[in-house]
Amino acid sequence: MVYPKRFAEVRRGKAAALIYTAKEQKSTFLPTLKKPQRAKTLMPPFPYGMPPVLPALDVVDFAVQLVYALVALALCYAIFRKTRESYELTKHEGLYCFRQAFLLFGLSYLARFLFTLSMLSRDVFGMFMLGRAIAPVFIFLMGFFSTLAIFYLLLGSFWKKYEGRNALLYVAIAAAVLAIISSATRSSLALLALQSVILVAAAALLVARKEKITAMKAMYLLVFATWIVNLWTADLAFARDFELKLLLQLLSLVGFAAVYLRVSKWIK
Amino acid sequence: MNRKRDRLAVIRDILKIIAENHNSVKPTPLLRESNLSSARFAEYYSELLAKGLVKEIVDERGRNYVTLTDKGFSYLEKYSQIINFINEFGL
Repeated sequence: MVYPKRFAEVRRGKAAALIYTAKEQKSTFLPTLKKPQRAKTLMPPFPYGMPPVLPALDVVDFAVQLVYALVALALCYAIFRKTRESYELTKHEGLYCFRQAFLLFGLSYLARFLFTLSMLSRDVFGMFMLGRAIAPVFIFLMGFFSTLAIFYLLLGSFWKKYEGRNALLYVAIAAAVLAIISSATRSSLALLALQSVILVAAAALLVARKEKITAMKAMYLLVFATWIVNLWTADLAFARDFELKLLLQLLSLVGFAAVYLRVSKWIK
Repeated sequence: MNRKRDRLAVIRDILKIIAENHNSVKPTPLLRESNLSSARFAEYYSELLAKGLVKEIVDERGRNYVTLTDKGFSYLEKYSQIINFINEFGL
């Protein structure tokens, strides 16, 4: 019974584990040696080595993400509520698209927060399978709502050019296709790339409009830029610098706050 | 001027005529004062009834009158700010 010399005992927290060195492992399974009985009880609990050291939850970052999502959601919902009476009185098609766009942006922010939460559950709590299974669902929701919001904002400006509601159906299909492609890649990077193309095209269309509504154009471009920044900071793989992320998120809130103030100016 | 902008303005004009006639006017004078064809007036009139901006009342002699609802008054009050908002955002 010479087993204690073969193992090096490692203590980590409450669990004590024994690690085999390669040389010792080899000698353990030599046919001439008799395997000691206590060896079974001394087997390491993690057969493939020690468990990964998980990063600690950054409480400040989590709190910032939560507050950011709530403020963005509140601003979007406030714009939606503020324009309700005007829409109900007039049933104006452009107003319909405008307020739906902000409602959808609000839902996108909610989906974005849930996506960040799923990333946290994967990285911090070690729930790899849960994070892996749920993250694509949130990428789909985030992609669908935000793409639809961008299209609605565009349709609000160009509603006179289309007849009936068929355009709404087509943009919903396009948004769903884009969201499916993004969620299939299991990363917000694909969504970021696809939406950047759409936003550049949308910005070009707005700038090329004949009417000289510079304030509106600037505001819409600000909202588009805001969303891209927001998407970039959603994935923990990018923008790891906390201060930079905070600054970008503050800027994106400023975009929505500017729209809200503008709406409040005209609709008391 | 585009068609949609005209539509909001026409609705405002019809509601204004009713309000200026002590909130009670018969359909025929309303048609005459609104400067619309019968067909277009019928279209707008049914839209206003459907949206709840105006309502029809019948007096004891069986005569039909058109009056504004609270929503109709609200439309008149908020018309200018809604138009300003629509213009501001290029909707």
